[in-house]
This record gives sequence, C-alpha cells and structure tokens, in this order.
Amino acid sequence: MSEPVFDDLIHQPHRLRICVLLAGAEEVAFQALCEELGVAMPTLSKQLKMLSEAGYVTTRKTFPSGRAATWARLTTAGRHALTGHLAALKSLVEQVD
Amino acid sequence: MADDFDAQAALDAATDTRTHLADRVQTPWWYHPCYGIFIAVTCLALGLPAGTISHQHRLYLFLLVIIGNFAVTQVYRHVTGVWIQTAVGPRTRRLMIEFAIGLVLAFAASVANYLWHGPWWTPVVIGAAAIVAATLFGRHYDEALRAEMRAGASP
Repeated sequence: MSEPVFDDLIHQPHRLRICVLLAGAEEVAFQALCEELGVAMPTLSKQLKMLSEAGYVTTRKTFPSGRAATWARLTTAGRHALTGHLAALKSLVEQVD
Repeated sequence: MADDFDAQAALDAATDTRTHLADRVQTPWWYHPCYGIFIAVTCLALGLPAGTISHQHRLYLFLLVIIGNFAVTQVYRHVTGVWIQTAVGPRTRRLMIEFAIGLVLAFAASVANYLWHGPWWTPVVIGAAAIVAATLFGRHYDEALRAEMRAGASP
C-alpha cells in the first residue's frame, strides 16, 4: 500500500485522468488521450507539458506512414505520485465515513 | 465538506477512466489469427525436413515472421492508440506463462521433427494447431486483460 501523498499537480481533473489513462498502459497515443478526455489537442498539450515538466510523463514522436504521431508514457515518478495521490483521496473519503 | 466530495468525485472519475481505457483495448479480429500464422510459419521454418525446403527459404520464412510481426504490431497501435505489451495482473501473468510454455513446446516439437527426419506434415499439423490455439487463447487473454485493467491493474 502506497503512502498517501496529496499531489496538487495531479489533482486537477484532466491531469488526474491523463495519469490514470497512462498508468493503465505502457504508452497511449496523443489522439487516443484527446478522445478519452474529450478535449482539443492544445488543451491536452498544455496538460502534458505540465506533467512532463514535473517529470511525471514523457512523450515521443513516431512517424508511421510519414505522419507524426505522439505517444505519452507515465514515468516511475509519475506512477508513484499517482498511487500516493489516489491513496490520499481514499484516506480523505474514509475519514468522512 | 468540499474536500470529501471532491475526493470521492475524483476517485469515481479515476474508476470511470480505467473502464473507458479497458473498453478501448478491443483487439481487431485479425490480430490473434495473424500471430497464429506467424507461429505456424516459424514451426514450418524450424520443422520441415531437409530436402523439402532450402536453408535460404527457411531464412526467408523467419524474415517474413519478423517483418509481419512488426507490421501487425504497428497497425494494432495505430488502431487502438494504446500499447500494452506485458501482463498487468496475476491472471494475465499466468496466461502469458502458459502461452510461453505452449510456444516452446510447439517450436521444440518442430525442431525435433527436423533433427529426427520426421515427416513433412508434422510441422504443418503443429502450425495449424498453433493458429487455432493462438486465436482462442488470444481472445481469452484479452478478456482477462480488460477485467484486470478495470480493476486498476497496470503494467
């Protein structure tokens, strides 16, 4: 069980969902993230940039059929932060109960 | 209190997100049969007796498997937008081990057929069984994968 640590960066709804999506796979395509979140690419780019600057996410470009495709991956630090944040949320809910 | 409502809503959003991701990981119908065919071709390359196929053609078959494997993987990534290569929980780990054992047995039987000058049809039969097994196993594995993803397991 991870130690509960509330993370202000991950707590933002879009960024939380991005981290949960990335935690469930090894890599997720930019387009797939946009579709799952229901946001436009500029919004996603901004959120990924913030997570990347914190060291939680890395991105890379591939060029299938000559067109660029961006893939995002959660880092070890990102997984740890997400796990701690979810544990903190559960702890908050249990305190009320 | 705002904090506990926010906390519960955030947890619910995380659960909902996991479910959506699991639903997204729908393997195209051709994916597992293709892998079965690659296994079958490998069995042929390993197991066809000397004289039925030249060493050069055996090499071509191996190259075909490598290139085909890469191509199928790239198409899968493009179609789903998600890449998961490893098991995510105890059930998928167990299934992967079972699959690996089956693969080793199929290849070992093919190599044995080559080494002991067995009939040409042995690797053909092994390959045909591999196509069926890979298709059925693949679908079973996918169901287990999606169930474990919904439960929060991750690679």
